[in-house]
Amino acid sequence: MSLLEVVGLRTEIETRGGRVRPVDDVSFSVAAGETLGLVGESGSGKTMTGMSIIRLLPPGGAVVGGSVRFDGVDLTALDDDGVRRLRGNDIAMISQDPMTSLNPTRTIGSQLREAYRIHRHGSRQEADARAVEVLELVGMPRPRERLAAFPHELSGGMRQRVMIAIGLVCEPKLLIADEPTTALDVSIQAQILELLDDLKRRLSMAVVLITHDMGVIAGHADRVAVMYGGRIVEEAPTRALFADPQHRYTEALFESMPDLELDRQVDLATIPGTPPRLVALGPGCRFAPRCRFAQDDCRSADPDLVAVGTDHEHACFHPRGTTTTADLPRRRRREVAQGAGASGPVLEVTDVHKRFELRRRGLLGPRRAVQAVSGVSLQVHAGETLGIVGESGCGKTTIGRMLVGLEQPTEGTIAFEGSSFAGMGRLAFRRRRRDLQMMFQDSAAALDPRMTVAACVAEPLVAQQVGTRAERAAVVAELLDAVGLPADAADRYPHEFSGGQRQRIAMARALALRPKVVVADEPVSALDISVQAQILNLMRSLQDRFGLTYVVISHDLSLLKYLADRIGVMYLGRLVELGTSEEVYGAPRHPYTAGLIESIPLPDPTLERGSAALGGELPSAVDPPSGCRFRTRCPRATALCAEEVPVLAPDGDLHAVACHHPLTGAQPARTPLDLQPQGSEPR
Amino acid sequence: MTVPLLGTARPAGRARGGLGRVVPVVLVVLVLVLLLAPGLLSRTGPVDTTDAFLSPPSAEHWFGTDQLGRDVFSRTVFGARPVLLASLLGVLVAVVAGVALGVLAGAAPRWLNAVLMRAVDVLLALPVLLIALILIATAGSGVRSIVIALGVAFTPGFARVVEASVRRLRTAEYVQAAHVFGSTGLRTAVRHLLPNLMTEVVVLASSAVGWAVLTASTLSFLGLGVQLPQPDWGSDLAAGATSLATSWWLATFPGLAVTITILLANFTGDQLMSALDPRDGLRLRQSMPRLLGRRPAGPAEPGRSTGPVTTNRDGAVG
Repeated sequence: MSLLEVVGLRTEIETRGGRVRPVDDVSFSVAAGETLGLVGESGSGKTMTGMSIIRLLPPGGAVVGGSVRFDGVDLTALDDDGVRRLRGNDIAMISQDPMTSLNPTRTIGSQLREAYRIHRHGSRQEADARAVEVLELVGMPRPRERLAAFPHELSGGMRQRVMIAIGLVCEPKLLIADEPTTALDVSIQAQILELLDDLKRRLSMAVVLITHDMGVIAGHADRVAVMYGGRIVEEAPTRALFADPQHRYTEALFESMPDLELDRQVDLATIPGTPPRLVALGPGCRFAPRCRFAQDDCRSADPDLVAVGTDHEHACFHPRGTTTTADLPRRRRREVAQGAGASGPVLEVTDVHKRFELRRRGLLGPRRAVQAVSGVSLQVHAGETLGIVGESGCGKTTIGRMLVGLEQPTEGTIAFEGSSFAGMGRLAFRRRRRDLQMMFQDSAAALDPRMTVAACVAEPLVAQQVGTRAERAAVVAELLDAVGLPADAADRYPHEFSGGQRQRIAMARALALRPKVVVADEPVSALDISVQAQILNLMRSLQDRFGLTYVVISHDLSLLKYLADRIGVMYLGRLVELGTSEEVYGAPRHPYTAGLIESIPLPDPTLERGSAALGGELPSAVDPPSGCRFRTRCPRATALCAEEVPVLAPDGDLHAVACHHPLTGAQPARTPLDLQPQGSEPR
Repeated sequence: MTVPLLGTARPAGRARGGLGRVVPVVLVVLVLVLLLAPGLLSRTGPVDTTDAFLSPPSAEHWFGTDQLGRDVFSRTVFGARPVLLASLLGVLVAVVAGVALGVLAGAAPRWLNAVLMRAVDVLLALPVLLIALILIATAGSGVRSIVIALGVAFTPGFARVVEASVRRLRTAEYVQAAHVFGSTGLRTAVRHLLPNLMTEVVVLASSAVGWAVLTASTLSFLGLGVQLPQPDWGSDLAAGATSLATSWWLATFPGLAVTITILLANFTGDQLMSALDPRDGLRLRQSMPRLLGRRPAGPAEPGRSTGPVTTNRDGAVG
């Protein structure tokens, strides 16, 4: 008997744009001690499904059909009070962003007590005791002291632990985790997912894990339901789904993920188009407009879920099993003489430091500064793609901003084609900017909402006073075509486009001045997987076409493995490893790189998973550890690491690493102190 | 991954027809008539006397007459001009000065920002009436003094709002993007900051007009604005206030006029707020065709050559 049984659930939301049906005839069940993964892109209705169960719908939303049986009780028949008694008591929910779901003005102790006393009516002492207990359960160090802490005093990972603790206060039977790790770094994500697994086992909870990340699902769900357009299109035990996906959407999702084994010379498979808007949909399979196997019956009738194996169901008229899969002709990249060493460096970063001054504590407190970047040297060669990877707060974005001249280094120099930015006249600097462009992470924020697409794309030309009005219009038309947007896009406004299309517009704008180098800061991290692949392919084809040099900044290693020729790994303001992407992935030399690679959730359920590879948290950049900054989390750290800053040095044929005890290659003999290079400051 | 993305879709059935389009047009016309040609609304002049003294509202005299036989309707209509002129001009002065000050302070280095904003704080601490009294005492009474007083009094409000927005917008990615492709500071301010500030400024301005009308009327009520016998809501209100028990219409109609004007100003602010939203409202650059009911050039069928787009663009600009 399942703990939660959802049958034919339908939810509708009244909006100005019409009646949206984000959950349309969804059925599934979850047993105690089981994790059901609910996976899908944004707008597929997975969050709304979770919200419908506990009836926390946005204004105008209502469950209009179906039933939700939880522990023998029909939730759809309960009144609001009844549902409220269940929420936080028998059913807990963890949401995506621990920053906004904790009240910043109250201590975590009081928020934990509140959760307890609403349902248990215990005394303050009992509530405190329970709060300490659950904080211990979620692996919070020194839980009793933390009761008095405010949310902003904790790191993102710790805040998510507090959120989970609040959920666990009343020993729920069902935990709905809505993208519990999306806002966290990979190493912290691995810790939190492991914690959820462990809690599920110990408390024999049922877990509904809502996520867009196939890798997360593979390692942590027992069964998976794939959602698309408000419907479950395929449901199967995790292993069966990953080994033999039947629905064409599931298949396409797997194909469009950049994973570590991918051939870099081949374009990613993409799903054309964008997910449907769930307003006034006609009959027919919702995926049909984007499906390359769609036929007439797909467009005229809704496919129902059919069973194909033990617990394996899919809703597709032409599943993968019935037709032989014709391999898509994928564009192979032109073999160009790539990157490293082929030509001289275009960008040269020499021992760059960046400090951000902080406000003093008190009137006469010591000067404090965040060491965002401390002593990074690297070169970018013409025509290559350099990836910079690291967790949030490692200084990778600051490096990118310094490369395009948005920030000036506190110390050190950045030179483009041999001439340094510092000391360059204003006018010369402005001209120089033509060669260095940037793509921002959030395409919605990077385009002025009050300008048409044509004006946005032409703006760099206007600012640099290039060409006449007619010439600029011609350039805009050409660029829009190059990034795959229809010509009529020119007169529309950015908000009329989807995220992927907006990123194309941003790309067109970045290319307007025919730059030599484009710095892309997390270019696809805000996009859905299927759209990600489109943008990545576009970036690569534009690189071939315009001879671009890319510096791609990302937290996603599998993406960089696919996109980058060389990769630099950053940790807390320092470059710790630099090599070709094959080298860095195949034989990481720095323990941090190895840990990062191990933390990536792989979309392969058959892999055995060890414990989270990187324990602990990123130390504060205001007061970084002495010597090697990674030593506080490093399993190989010795006394030497605390004393001496390791220098980024190549070792024979091996790629460069900044570590006293690298994983491969000879351990360097202890360098005599008088030979200590310039780059290491005593701290 | 949160709520389904509905923002990308243009709302289909937004009721922008009928009333929503007619009311602003009527309002603009009414204000223009009151300012330029109040004679169109009233046959008799504001200072023309008739034989009827203190007659209550009738078909002949809609708002009644006063002690000297002057038509109250006519005085209310003609009295709009000094009040509206003073408050609109005063707010205009405040908008120009406040936006300039706010953009300057918002884009300035920290020390200059501190100096400017503290100066603004000092101005904000001075009551409007005090500023007006000082000005009138030194420069004499009249519309000009009221305009200057209102301008000085309302500038700090605009400056503060604009300064806060500029500081927020400076870190917006599209402003940073403008830096990256080498846009100068002034150009960025004109192309990116001002258009994105306009919503707040316009909305704030329209409610400021309401306050300005109240202040201007107060000054006239105190005898510091327009001098009798010239018509003015404030002074007429003061003149009629003493005989409210016997001839209620004398004070009531100018008072109602003040109230309705303030209400309309605030209502206009609400309307502008939604109309200026770049997502589904009017845009400043193409507002007129929209206002007149024409849809903007809809998406052309895909696959058309790039030719029409360029000609379209040039045509629209030229």
